[in-house]
Amino acid sequence: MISGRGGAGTRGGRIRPPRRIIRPNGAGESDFDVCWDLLREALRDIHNKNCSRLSFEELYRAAYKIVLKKRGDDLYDRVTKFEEEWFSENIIPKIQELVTTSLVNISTDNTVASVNERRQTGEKFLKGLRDTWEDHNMSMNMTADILMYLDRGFAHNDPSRASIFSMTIALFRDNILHSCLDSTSGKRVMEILISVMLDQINMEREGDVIDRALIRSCTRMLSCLYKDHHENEAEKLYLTSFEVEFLANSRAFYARECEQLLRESDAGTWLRHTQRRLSEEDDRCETTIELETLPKVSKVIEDELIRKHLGEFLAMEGSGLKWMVDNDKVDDMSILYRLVSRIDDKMMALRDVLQKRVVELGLEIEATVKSTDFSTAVPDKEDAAEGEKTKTLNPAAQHTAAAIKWVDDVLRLKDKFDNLWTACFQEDLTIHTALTKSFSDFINMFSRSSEYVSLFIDDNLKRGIRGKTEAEVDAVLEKAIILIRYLQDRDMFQTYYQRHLARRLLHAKSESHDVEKQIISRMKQEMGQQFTTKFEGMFRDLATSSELTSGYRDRMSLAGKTIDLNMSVLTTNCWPPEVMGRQVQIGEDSRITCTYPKEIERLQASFEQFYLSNRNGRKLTWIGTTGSADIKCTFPAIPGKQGALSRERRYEINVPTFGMVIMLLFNDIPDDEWLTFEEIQAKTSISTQDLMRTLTAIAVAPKSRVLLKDPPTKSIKPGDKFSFNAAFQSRTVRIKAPIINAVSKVEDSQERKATEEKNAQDRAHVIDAAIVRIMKSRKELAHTQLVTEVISQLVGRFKPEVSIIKKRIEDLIVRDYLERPEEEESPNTYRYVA
Amino acid sequence: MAFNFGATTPNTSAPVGYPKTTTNEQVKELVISLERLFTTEAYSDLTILCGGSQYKVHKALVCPRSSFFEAACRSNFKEAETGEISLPDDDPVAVEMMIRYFYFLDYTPPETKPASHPTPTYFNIEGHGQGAIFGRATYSSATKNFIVDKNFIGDKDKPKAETTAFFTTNMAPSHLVLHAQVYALAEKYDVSGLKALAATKFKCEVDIHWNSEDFMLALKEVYNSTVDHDRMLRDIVVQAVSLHLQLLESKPFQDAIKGLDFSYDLLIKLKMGGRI
Repeated sequence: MISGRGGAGTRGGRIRPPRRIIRPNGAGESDFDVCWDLLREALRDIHNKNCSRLSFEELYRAAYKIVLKKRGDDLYDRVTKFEEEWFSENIIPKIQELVTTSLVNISTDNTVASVNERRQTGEKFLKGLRDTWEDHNMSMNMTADILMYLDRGFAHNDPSRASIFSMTIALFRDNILHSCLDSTSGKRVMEILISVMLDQINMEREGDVIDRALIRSCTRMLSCLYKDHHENEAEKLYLTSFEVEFLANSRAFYARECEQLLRESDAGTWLRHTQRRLSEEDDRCETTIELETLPKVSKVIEDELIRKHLGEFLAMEGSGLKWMVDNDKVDDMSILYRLVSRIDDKMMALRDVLQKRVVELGLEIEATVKSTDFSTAVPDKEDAAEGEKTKTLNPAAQHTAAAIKWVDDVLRLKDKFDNLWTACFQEDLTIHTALTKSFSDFINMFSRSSEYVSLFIDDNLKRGIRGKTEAEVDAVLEKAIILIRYLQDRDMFQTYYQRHLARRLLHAKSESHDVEKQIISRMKQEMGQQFTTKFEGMFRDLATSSELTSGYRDRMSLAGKTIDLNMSVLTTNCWPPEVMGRQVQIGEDSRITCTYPKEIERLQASFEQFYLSNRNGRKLTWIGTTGSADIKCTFPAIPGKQGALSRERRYEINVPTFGMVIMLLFNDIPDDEWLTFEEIQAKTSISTQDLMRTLTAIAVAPKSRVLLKDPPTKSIKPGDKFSFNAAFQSRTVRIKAPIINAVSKVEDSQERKATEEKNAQDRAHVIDAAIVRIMKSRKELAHTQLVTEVISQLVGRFKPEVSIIKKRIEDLIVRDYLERPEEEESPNTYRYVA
Repeated sequence: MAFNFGATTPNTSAPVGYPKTTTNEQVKELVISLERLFTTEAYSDLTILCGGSQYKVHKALVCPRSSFFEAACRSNFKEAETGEISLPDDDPVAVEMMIRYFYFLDYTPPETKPASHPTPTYFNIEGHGQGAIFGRATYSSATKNFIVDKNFIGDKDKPKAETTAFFTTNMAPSHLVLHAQVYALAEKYDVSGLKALAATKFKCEVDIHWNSEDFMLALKEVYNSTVDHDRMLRDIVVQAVSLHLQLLESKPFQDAIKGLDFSYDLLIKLKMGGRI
């Protein structure tokens, strides 16, 4: 039986290494041949897919025996030789058939054939290669199974030998992929394979349908093969050969595509196209090639389709980011955000354009407000003004309207960008910071922003919140706080707010003290305790005043008198200086008090006595400018007249305190006698400004014209004459004379200059204080350091200019708070003088 | 002999932080269920044939522990189709030990009948080889004949017949040869746990029976049934002989080691130990 295999034995002897010729066991030779014959037939059967009749155990045992007989290397070599022969006889011819001229041409020049032709030729080749590979792969798996003991008992211990499987599977690489089957082009099968695969992928990118599973089989094959027998994971053929080419091809493809988009399309198309390409590649890596390529090919798209021309697309006229913002293209911007966030988590490009646009729009608001004519353009304002006093439709009221429009517009802009931020930019923090900065920038570029914001709050607290629910009021408050947050010169805002608040409180214009207190407590949270001390002081004053008033009333009623006197005792520091009469009026000494009538003086003395009885060392100054008085007037029946005038008429008129003083003058003179402006001033010693205002209220305002004026013009001038208006009549019994200076209006330029001067003075003191504080703790400090520290200390209040700080330092040196050290080596240093 | 891994390895693999979930109770349950699977052959899906015996086993238990059985069941060869794996070339007792190992994580050599072989044969050390007697020098070949002649095994109806019958006459009280055979089998079929187990058992017996006839037979078995680089048993026998060099003076021992790589191993061992 064994002798029948003699031929095979001879062949086996030929390749045996010399040292094996002399064997201790003579029987081993024939044993080996028997076993090898068995295995060789089995290998053949495996390749022919005809192995179900073979016994695995028998084949395994044959290999085991050979290894046990120390003939493992012979077996290894013979298997290698067998497989190589099998390749050259059975497989290579098949592949050779597939490599046709037209196929080779695809890889060189893909314009020769039609797309359809190209796809079919390519598919045929890929299919042939795939089938061959799959057969080989399966055969080698089975071969490796039966030769398992060869691996364990022999190859495993010989580092120069790869395992049977990796050795035989690599034959495919060496004998097929790396072989050159087309002599004319000199191309290796691998090159053809890759270019065909890329051609197919490009077809799909152009919109064709391709056999994805087929491509995937090929990439799987390349993933199973390695560059060399070390089988290093990083040196899979897929990575070393295919992926490199694939990425280069993708880069070229998308670079071309992006150029085209830039030439022919708009930004919206580009966004959607890029998004689609990204998801396509995602899909491709899932289904057609290997998933590990995804981050790399995504990066190619990011580079080529996004990063390279991002600026150009964003700047596109009529479709770029500016256009998207203006037209609220939420979808476009959402895509844009997602794309840009892939390449730059700082969003530089996006941020810059957005910031620029915010500032532009902000300045536009300012320009609009400046160019709008509010005397006609704001009808609702007119209605509101009419209700109170028709006369105030003056430039000041228009300014107020402008202020409110500005604030409204700014808030609308803010809302718009907030919406975009939430809807498109996924609440990105960097973008938020950038937007906030831009808002702050343009708001602070506008010199009147502090005043306008305060006016806005003033307007809302006076009228705006009437009839609103708590939530709506809350929203208004929130808006106000947002605006305050943007302001840089908070001390300016503080000044304005104080002034507006004082007017609201003293003239009882405020809609709700609760809301007033709420907004103050919010400011306190935002800006700190120090910011709101004065405002809180104002409220405290009013509370003590009402206690005082009722206390005084009780005291008087004990004494049997009924006196209706409302007192507001104001602490000098908390209230704005102009209210307290501390403001220096230009060209005239300010007088806040006047010569009161005797009965009033008695009343004042009585209250002062009451007030000082339990408070020592206080001084009360009576401020006539902010109070008011109820006067009961009797107008006589005028003979010969019809209607109301024929009867005696009694009215209760509420007039400013000075109005009362003036009106009482007319009690002492006959009805038809006239008093000139100068006479009135001489008797009352009210300042010209105040007198003019007061006379406007009682001699010009139509509803409360209790005095006649000669000449009957609408403005009061020195030299005018006044007399009792006996023919006065009114439909209501209670009349309120308008308070001319109570309207919170935008300052005229003169007032504004004054405010600024005053503010500059205040700032000087604040800077002085900061410098002294710093120097006191540091003792010695260089100039630049000192300036930096001062700025950082004051950042919450305002932004001091360096030149001013310098001036203050000089000033402090002159006043001996600081000195320059004598030593030469530190010329720019200051020392604190204790 | 009895395994009791519930006690010796209490939950070493349990994740840290979890309460102990496996107790002896649960281990016992698993052990009993494996035993039942072996005895009742329920759910078996693979048949192993060897020396006239057939074992109905479970792929789920066998394949994960042996790459040979796994490949046999996976590939498209005859075995995968028929569900039968025949092992005609292996020692039936060793195969039975292997299969018992799959189910019991241990194996116990079949009992010998002391009556048939009252005194074991030992080298007469005092006699310096002259008087050494090999009780049954033909032990090895006798066993081989036994296997080849399948008809000799009478009781084919009993599936897991008590194979003690094979050794009734010639069995020495040591199981050195069997352990060496099981070891080779474990190596052949890639059952690493069994390999280590057999080596341990072998080592234990070598310490006692180094001067027995069985030791000499086992030495031959070790050197003929495994490849060069498989050192576990080789090292054990080389070590044993190097401790008892007087064995070399015995003629039968000299005959036995002739032509084996053992001589070379021993030489190197002695040289390394500085003894020559």
